[in-house]
Amino acid sequence: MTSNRATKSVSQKSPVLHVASLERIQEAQILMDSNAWGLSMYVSGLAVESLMQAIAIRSGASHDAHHDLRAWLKKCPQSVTDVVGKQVKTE
Amino acid sequence: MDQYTTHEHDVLVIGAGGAGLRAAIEASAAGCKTAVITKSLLGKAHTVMAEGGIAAAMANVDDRDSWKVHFADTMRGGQYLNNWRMAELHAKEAPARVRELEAWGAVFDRTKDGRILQRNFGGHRYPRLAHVGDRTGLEMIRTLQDHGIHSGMEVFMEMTIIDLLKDGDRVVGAVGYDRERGRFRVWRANAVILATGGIGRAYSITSNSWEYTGDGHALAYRAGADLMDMEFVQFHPTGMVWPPSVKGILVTEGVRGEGGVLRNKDGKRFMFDDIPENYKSSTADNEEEGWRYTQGDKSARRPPELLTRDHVARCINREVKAGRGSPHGGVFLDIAWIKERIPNSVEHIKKKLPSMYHQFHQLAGLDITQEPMEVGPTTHYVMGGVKVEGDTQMSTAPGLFAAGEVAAGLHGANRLGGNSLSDLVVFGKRAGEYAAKFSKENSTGKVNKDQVEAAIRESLAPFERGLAAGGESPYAIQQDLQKTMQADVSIVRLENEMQRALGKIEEYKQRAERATAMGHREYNPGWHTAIDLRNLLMVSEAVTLAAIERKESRGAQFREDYPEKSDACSKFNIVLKQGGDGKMQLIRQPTRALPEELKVVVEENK
Repeated sequence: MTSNRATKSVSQKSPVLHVASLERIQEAQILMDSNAWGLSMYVSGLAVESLMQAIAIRSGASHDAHHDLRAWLKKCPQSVTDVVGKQVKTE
Repeated sequence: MDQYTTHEHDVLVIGAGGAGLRAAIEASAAGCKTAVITKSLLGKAHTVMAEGGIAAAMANVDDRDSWKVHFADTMRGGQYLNNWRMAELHAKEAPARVRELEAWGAVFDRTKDGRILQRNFGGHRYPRLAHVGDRTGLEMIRTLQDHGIHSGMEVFMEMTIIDLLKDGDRVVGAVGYDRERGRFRVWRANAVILATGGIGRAYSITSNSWEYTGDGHALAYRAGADLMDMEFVQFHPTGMVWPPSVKGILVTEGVRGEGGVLRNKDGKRFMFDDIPENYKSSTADNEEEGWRYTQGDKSARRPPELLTRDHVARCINREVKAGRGSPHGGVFLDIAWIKERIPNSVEHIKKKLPSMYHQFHQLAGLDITQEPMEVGPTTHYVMGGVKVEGDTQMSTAPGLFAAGEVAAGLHGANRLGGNSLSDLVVFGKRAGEYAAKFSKENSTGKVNKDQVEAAIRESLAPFERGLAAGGESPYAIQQDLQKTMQADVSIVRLENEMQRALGKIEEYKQRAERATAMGHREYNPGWHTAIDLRNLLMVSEAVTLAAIERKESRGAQFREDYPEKSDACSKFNIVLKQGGDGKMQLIRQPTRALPEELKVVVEENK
């Protein structure tokens, strides 16, 4: 009755969040193409959050930081923190 | 069928703003197992946007104030369409609720002799708003959260309720899902309290955050409860107009209460040009008197900038349309000018209006102690909502209660600033108290599994439709709806424009049937928007139908084709309900006559 896309994989597992991140990036592109700039930025932000969660949870972190990106970044492995920190400094 | 988790509670509160938290505290205190559900994170509520203060006739600053004057002010502001019993209870009980907040830890500003300080506000005859700088709502939410969290309530964050569950006519719970992961849940409860706030997101310019999509209104309507006064939507006169990313964000009325003035591009204080007849005797007719009023001179009358919100919003609208607006489509709100009157004005403004100072500094790069702000009307509040019984807050659907913005009645045709926060605590408490009583007096209802499964099936439908197969982006439909409501059912209304809006709403309903969600349920705002759409469409239709039916200008409704008040229209409220055919039905319900003793109160305080 309901499609696989609708019913499968509602879990906190890392691969699911990774897929969610990729889906939101794709959606952000569609929104960008239709000149919905604000929404596109918002959905892109969700993609970043989902990806950070995917990485953090894969590294054994618990799922309790809500939408605090700094908190999620701290839960990511040092290599990710270094790269993001370096990028921020460069910019 | 998708699996779902079931929770059991005595009282279920949907919404965690001021009304929801206050209701939950009361229900918990009555010994009920209580759950609070919030669409967002705890603490992120529109309550915090109420910056100016909480209205309560404590007479700390002006001893002429009393519940009678507050009652009369509220009725006059509501153009006498208010549920007078609610207005009476509100005026009588607000002071006790404020003192209760203080006892729970709210740190209000103080008078020199240590009492709670009260400030002037539009439509209130005397200084009546207890406040915490310009962060009163924030302090209130903090206090209620701190107190509530120790009362044993269970909090479910980031949950959307998709339908109320019924056993016969009675509401016995709700079905929803968690927004992060998309898992479904059922809450069984003996009584359900709606405290979901407003409908601002039906418009494109609004002070409301993304959560305010009329969920409670639509849930109640679909569950068979009556809605009332939906034509009355308040446009706050002063929202930010620049830069575009912050358009609509509120600029507190407290700015005007502290002496801020409105000017057009020619520097003229245009509010002096249009003072309504019924406010002339209580409004200053010169700048000097207006200033003295803001500084506490009891012999002075209030400046016209502090007239009711609907009137100020229309005056600003008129200036902009006449080409006398500011560069970005608003007018100027100037508090910096008080340096001509106060030696330490910079520190004074920062102390009295700290949030406004930071808001403009950070979002617009503007120092309000030195330059005027640019402001314009923004959709802020809906007076209409779920029709409730005044004492108990129970709707026409047994077991379903409503409090705060989602409930109708207290404010009539227009709400006075400051009355929203007192509304939340007065009627939040009452809703909690009577929901707990209802829970104890009634056995547990039965949840219908078929109803749960149908609701889940419908909410998953957007995943079944592909964009390629004629599906539509829910964002596009929402934006089109917002533009239509903003253009055709806004501050100034005309029959033909509203009829056009109704036609478009019908089109949007059909498009919403094709709304598509991409991918999976996790972190999927497109899916959430597709679900929100049916609520937004329902409330938009209700506002438009009621606005067409009320062929007069009264309170927040201004009809250019019927610019005057009509005696005939003063005698009814418009009630909306779902008909047997599923279509929206509209009834003119006669208002209840004021009892003699309250008539005297109104007459004495005119």
